[in-house]
Amino acid sequence: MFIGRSAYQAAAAFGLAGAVALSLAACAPSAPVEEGPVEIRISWWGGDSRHEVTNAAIDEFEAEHPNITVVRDFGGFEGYLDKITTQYAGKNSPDVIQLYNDVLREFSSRGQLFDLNEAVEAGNLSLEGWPQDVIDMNTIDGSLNALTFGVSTHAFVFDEVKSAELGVEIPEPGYTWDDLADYATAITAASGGATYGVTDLSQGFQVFEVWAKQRGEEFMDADGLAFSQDTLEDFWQYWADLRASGGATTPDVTTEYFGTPYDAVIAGVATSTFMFANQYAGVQASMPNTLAIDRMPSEADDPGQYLRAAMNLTVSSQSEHPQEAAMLIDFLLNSEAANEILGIDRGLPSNGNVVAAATGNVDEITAKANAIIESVRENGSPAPVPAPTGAAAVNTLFQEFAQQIQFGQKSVADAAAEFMAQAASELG
Amino acid sequence: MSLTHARDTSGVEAGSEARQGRGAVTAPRPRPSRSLRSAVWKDRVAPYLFLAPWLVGFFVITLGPMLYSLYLSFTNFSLLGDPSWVGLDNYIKLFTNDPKYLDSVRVTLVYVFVSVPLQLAFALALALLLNRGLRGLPIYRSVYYLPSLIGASVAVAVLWRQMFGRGGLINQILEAFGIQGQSWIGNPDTALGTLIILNVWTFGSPMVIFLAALRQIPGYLYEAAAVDGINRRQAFVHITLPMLTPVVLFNLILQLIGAFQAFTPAFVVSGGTGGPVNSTLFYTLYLYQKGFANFQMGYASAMAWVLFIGIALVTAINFWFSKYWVHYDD
Repeated sequence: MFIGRSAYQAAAAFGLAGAVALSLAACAPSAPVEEGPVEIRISWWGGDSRHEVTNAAIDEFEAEHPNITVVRDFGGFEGYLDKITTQYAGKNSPDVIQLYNDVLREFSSRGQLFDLNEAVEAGNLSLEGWPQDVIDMNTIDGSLNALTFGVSTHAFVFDEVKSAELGVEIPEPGYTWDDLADYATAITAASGGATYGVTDLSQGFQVFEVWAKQRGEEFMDADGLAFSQDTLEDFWQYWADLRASGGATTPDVTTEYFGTPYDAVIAGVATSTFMFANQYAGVQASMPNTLAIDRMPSEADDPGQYLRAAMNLTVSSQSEHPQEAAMLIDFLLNSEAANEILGIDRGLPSNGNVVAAATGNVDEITAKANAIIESVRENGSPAPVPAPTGAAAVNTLFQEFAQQIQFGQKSVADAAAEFMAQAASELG
Repeated sequence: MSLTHARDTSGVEAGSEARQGRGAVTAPRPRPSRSLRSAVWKDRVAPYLFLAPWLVGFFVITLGPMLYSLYLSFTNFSLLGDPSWVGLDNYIKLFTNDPKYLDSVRVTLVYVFVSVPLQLAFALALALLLNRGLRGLPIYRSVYYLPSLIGASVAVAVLWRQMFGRGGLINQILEAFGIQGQSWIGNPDTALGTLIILNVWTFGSPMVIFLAALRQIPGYLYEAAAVDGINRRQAFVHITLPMLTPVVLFNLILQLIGAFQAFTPAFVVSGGTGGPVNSTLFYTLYLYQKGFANFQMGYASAMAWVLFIGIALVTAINFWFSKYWVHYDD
């Protein structure tokens, strides 16, 4: 027996009906503030070690505040933002949210973050020991939207063992961009092309951020792009030259390690790359060769580096218990008890008073990264203000144009000009 | 004949009941009305009760959100904060002021119209092979079906990354032949090709459907043809293929719909970027980036509806053309 025409049509039509559906449930429960037991939710991303210490620190908070229960929602970074924004759209956001710099203004400009100044005035959150520039960095339109949860800074790492094997000296501290180029070209030449001296970082907007600061400019300020087109052309030309000399990875290799260039160093494909200092210990743990860590290459005396928020803690404006949420933030950021447990998984504490507690028992490797961060604390530039709305899209554009240059689809000059125009329209 | 007869009978019964009812006003018989109620219950209400779980699911989980996304497509909804009406702006921007969107359309069309025909041809070829009464057929069938079960999963996409990467399996094989490979997923000229191969590789599900259909072709057709003295090739062209056409249409439409909506392979293989240089920027991947990374859910909703209409059109065209090539045996 054959199935007839209509059955096939019905089946195919059914497949079509289910084809596209964006589901966004929207419901708005608003319970009154309750006396007595309070339940708050916190969300963060990270790896297993971070989950472990964060949970332990929150347990401690619950022990100190028996009436507050903290529900924890944690996982990897993949899909983290999707989850938070979807919860917001469903009017069901967590009370305390770990966020990253690039999206801070997206949330605050739409009124989605609680002004922590209210908690400071209510005496539930202390700012004692906090550097003013970190507070300014987190203040948007007069309201304190976030507090930095761990500071870090830009760093460069070199595979010591492989460099020695190839007979190339690692650049000395105080090295310049030219020194880096010489080193990278020498490595690739010495290895006969089997290993690259540096990963191509032309798509690294965070690297360009330092480059711009070293030239007295900024990648973005509150109003939008804050650098000249010449600066961008110089940056992209620097990497184009390094590709031409063989020092930097070829475009196909660069693409493979696009999001995490340090994986190329772990895999032995390249001997040096950029990372954030707080990532150093984790990367070193996943490879046998010793990694040297240094500040970014620089020009003259301006290192262009600053204490950068690795991540931030915020309270949702949807929270029914913002004061209790702020108390949790206060505990995590300002108490010695919490920082002894948290250590420096997220970077060093911003609050100078608890740095000692957090770094009480760090190993030798972590101490090397901390030294870089501390050197920037002493001799760095002020942190940039939060990026404007649309910054995330500009970062993506930056990567796309850099890739088009890498694959020879656009000249440096054309790409730079088009980027300036398109980025301005994203921010406009 | 029998229909008219049935109607006549019921007419007589209804008439006689009416007469009886008029004749005995003081003592109405309860039986008809109860049976009427139970008939209504049985014919009208009960089916919907049985359908209720599906209906609730359809209206609340499918249709409701779909209509909501239609509304959102006319707003500037950002996921954060409330949507505000922008009319047709999103749709106009899609086609006039977003070159990246047109890129994603182009990538998706290439993917759909190259990978689906290849996949179906592969599936049919394997089904014909397996239909020749192989020993251990269930084992082969399962083995060939396996990729379809896991093909759209993250695990396989990760595997693909390993295979087509710079130090991957493909390059190791090439090296054995003295060919210096490249990163196939890191090159804009070949990245989409690896994803097309991945889709073709998951031919198992159409293959199983082809196999079932091959089994359904009545043997007497071949016997009659054999009597007429036709050869194998003629039998394939004049019997097998025509008898299979409804299943070809079915597989074609389902695989087209699936390919238009492919997301996971591109997301995993390109690390969510759609790169290198947007060469694997599938429609749904760009939609996802717009909605969740760039906070433009209204725009993403408009993209979803354009895709929906696009798939509906392609499907409708397929149905319309099907009358010229699909043979129904009913």
